[in-house]
Amino acid sequence: MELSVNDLKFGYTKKTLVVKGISFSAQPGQLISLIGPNGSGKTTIVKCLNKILTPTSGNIALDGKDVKKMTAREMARRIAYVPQFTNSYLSGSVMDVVMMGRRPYIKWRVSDADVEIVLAVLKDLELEELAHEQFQELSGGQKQKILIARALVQKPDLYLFDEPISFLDIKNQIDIMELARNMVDKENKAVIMVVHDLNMAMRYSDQVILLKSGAVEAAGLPKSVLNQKHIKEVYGVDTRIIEGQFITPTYGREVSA
Amino acid sequence: MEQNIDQAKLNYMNKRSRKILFVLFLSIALVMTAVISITMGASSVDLQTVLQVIGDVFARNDAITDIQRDIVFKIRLPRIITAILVGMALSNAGLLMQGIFQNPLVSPYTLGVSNGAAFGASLAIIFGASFSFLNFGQFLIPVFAFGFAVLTMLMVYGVAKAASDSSSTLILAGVAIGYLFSALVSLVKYLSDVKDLPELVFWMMGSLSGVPMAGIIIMLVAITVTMILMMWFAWDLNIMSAGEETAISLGVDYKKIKMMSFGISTLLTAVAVAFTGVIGFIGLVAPHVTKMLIGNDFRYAVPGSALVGALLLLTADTIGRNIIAPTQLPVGIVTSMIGVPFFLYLIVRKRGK
Repeated sequence: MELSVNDLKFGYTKKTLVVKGISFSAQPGQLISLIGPNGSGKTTIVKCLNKILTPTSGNIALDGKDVKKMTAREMARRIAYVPQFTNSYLSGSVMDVVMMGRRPYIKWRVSDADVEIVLAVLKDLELEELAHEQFQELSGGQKQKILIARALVQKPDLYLFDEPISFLDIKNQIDIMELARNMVDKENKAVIMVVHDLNMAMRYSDQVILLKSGAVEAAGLPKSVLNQKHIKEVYGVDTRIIEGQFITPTYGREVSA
Repeated sequence: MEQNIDQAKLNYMNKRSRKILFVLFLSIALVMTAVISITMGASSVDLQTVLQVIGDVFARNDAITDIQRDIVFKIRLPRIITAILVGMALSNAGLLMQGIFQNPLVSPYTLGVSNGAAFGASLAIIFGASFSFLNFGQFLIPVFAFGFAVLTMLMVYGVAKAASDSSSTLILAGVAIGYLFSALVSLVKYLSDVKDLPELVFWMMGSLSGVPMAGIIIMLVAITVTMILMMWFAWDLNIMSAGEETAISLGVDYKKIKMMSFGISTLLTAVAVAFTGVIGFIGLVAPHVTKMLIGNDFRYAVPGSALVGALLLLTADTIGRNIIAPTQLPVGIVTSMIGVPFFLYLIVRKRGK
């Protein structure tokens, strides 16, 4: 599998482009993080890759085949998408929600194999206890993991994550980043992820693409992209890096009596 | 560990069988309710007589009078069939709308369709003579009601689309446009001749009696075709409820399914309203009862909600026909009596979450 993106442009109107000519590629065994301030075009890029949005111009190809020529079902078997966490109106049991991920393979009847795949994925994620719970009654972290499970049962080559950890506590953040890392290292899949947490991006990515106003500011290895100069340029924030972690000025003071 | 998976799989399969059993159970319940309903009414035609009348079709039975024959075949049976069909149509329309718009409060009634149809009907009733050149005869009212029901849906969907499709806009648009049409109905009433008013008032309370044979056939065809479509696209519809982005990423042709759902829900609502007038809340209550009983999976919910809708409306109408017999309560009043408390309960529950 190789995803190649060439001079991708997108605008809601013709005049104002949100994404201004982005090129990159993704191979199996790579975790690529898209980083940048709010409104820099990260989510838009992910949605273009997935044909949720139609690019204004440019080319996206999967193994040399233009995605425009692929059917929706074909796309869904190769690319899975985990949307930005929202408390979406999804009813039904966890099984029902995860089973949706088998839609690209199911014609009408759910086969034994489909049920087994769903249960195996839930077990891998140690979520099998939740199989018959109602999705709406789960915690935020659990919901996010169930949506990842739904992507996993699609058995795709490429995963797209849109801010998978933004609303989660530290434990769930690490769980999900480890999960993504596992998909890359053990299953040799590709992951493209929109992240806000620079430290998480630094620790878990193979490649980082730093965006500013819809254009690439810097791209490459995390340590070469994520430095004080780039962060200052893109975010306008002063940082220090201590042992590979970004530190911003602190204000916490002891309160004196 | 393997055992765990087997156990979970078994659970899943059991749930599936339970859903199928529920659908069968609902079918039996519907047949039984229909049998009970046909024996109940202002004139005493009991089960034995009904069976004799039906037997009379095959082998002539001289004990049967023409009046008994008419009560069964011309009054009760068509009315029961109408109740079943209209219940199915309104319920499935509601099920589809709630799924597509991801909003449990959406239904044919809450989107103002009934008011639009009522305006169409009022034009036909009050100014019928002016439209005689159309030569619609007894179909003048249904055609007008149907036309305005469709127009209302298009207006509501149009406004919601202009406001970027959010489902709360849809309800607000429905309420606003519903008010517009209800004001127009008042205007027509104000301008009309007193002698025409009873027919309009009666129409607006909803009635399952006197639907012509052609009307029953039209409803039957509409329900059959739309049910086949809804079953065929059941998986796509299941996934639509997860929202546009997820649906697309799972390989669903979102625009196509959405357009189809608009079409189906409009058609079902419009045919039901055209022949029977304003019957509120079935399209809201029945899908919810179905989901509580057999869940959201359209593969089971489509037949399930059709049956629940039929069962509820038939029961409501049987109650309406008999509770203060020989006077008959319009079925729209009965369904609203049951529906309004349920609607309020849904709002409270939704806010509570």
